[in-house]
Amino acid sequence: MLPGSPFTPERLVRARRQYRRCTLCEHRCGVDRAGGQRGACGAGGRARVYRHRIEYGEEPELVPSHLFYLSGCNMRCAYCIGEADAFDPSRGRVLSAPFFREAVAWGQAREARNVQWVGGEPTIHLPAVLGVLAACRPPVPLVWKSNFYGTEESWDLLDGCIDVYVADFKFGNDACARRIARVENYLAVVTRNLGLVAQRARLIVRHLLMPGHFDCCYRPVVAWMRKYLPTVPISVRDGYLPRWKASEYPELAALLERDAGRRARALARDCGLEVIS
Amino acid sequence: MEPDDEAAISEITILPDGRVCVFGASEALIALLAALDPRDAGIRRRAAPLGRPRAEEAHELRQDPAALCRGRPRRDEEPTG
Ligand code: SF4
Repeated sequence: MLPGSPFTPERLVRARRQYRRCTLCEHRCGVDRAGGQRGACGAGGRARVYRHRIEYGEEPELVPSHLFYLSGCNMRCAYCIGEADAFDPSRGRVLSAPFFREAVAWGQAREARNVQWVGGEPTIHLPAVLGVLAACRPPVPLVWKSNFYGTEESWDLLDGCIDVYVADFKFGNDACARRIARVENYLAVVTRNLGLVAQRARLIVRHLLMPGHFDCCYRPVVAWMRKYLPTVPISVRDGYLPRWKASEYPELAALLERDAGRRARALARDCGLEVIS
Repeated sequence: MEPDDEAAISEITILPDGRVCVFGASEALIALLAALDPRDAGIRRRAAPLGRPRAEEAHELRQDPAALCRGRPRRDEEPTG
C-alpha cells in the first residue's frame, strides 16, 4: 500500500463485513450475501462486469471515459435502458484484480481520462470495487455514478477513494420513486447523500427527463439544488427512451416532449445553476 | 482486457420526429455526429478530445458524405473481441 493511500486494510475489512450483514443501501436488508442470502438487489459476494468500454456520451468534462458496467441494482426503474443486464447480478464476468488491471491498461492505451463505475448500481458492489482498486491503483481519476440510495456507511467507505461523483437524481418526490423505482423514503435519502458528498469531492448532479414528470420531478430537483447545492453543476439528459417496462406506465410509454431539454436547461439557468450538458 | 464486439456497439434510436438518441456513444460515433451536425454544441464539446486526426476525418466526411456509407477511415484498431 502506498503511503497516504485511502485503501487501508481497516477500510477493506470494514467493507468486506458488509457482505456478511449488508447495509450498503437504504433497503438495509441485513442479509449475509457471502453466505448465500440475498436482499432486494439479489447480489451475492461477487461483483460482475457485464460491459466495459470507452464512451463519449458522458458529461463533456469526463470524456473519453472508461465505463465499467456492474450488473445488479437496488432500484427497479421501469424505464431502465440497461434492462435485464442492469438488474440481474449474475450477468457478466467476475470483477477480479487481473481482469481489472488488464482492462484499465486497455483503456489507458486509448487515452481514457478516467475510470467510471456504473451499473446497475455500483454501491451494491462497493466492497468488491474497493478490493480491486486497492490491488490495482489505476493511475487515473475515479468516477462513481450512482443513484445515491446508499447508506451513510457506504459513503464513508468511499470517502477519499473517489474523485468525481455523478449522482442520478431521478425523482422529485417519494410517490414517483415508489411507483416507478420501488424504493421508499427516496427524497430524504438522496438529498442527505448529496449534501454529504458535495462536501467531500467534485459532484455532478444528473437528471434524466421523463415524459410527464417535468412538474413533479424535474422542478423539485432544480428547486432543491437552488436552495441547498447552488454551486453544484447539473447535467440535464433528454435522451429518454420508453424501454424495459416503461410501457406499463401510461406517461412513461410516451416520448419526451420535443422541447423538454431546452425548457429544462432554461429553468435550471434561471435558477442560477451551472448547466453542463 | 479488450471488450468484446457487443461492448463496442453504440445504440442509435431515431425518433419519429427526427430526434436522434444515442446510448453508449463511441469515439467513432461521436466523430460521425460531429461531422453530421457541427453546430451542436454538446456534440462539439464531447468531440473536442478526439483531437486533430478525428477532426480532420469529420471534415472529410462533411466534404464527402458518401464516405459515411463506405465506413469511417480508421486511425487505429477499434476494440474487438
Ligand atoms: S445492497 Fe441494498 S438491496 Fe442489496 S442486499 Fe445490501 S442493503 Fe439489500
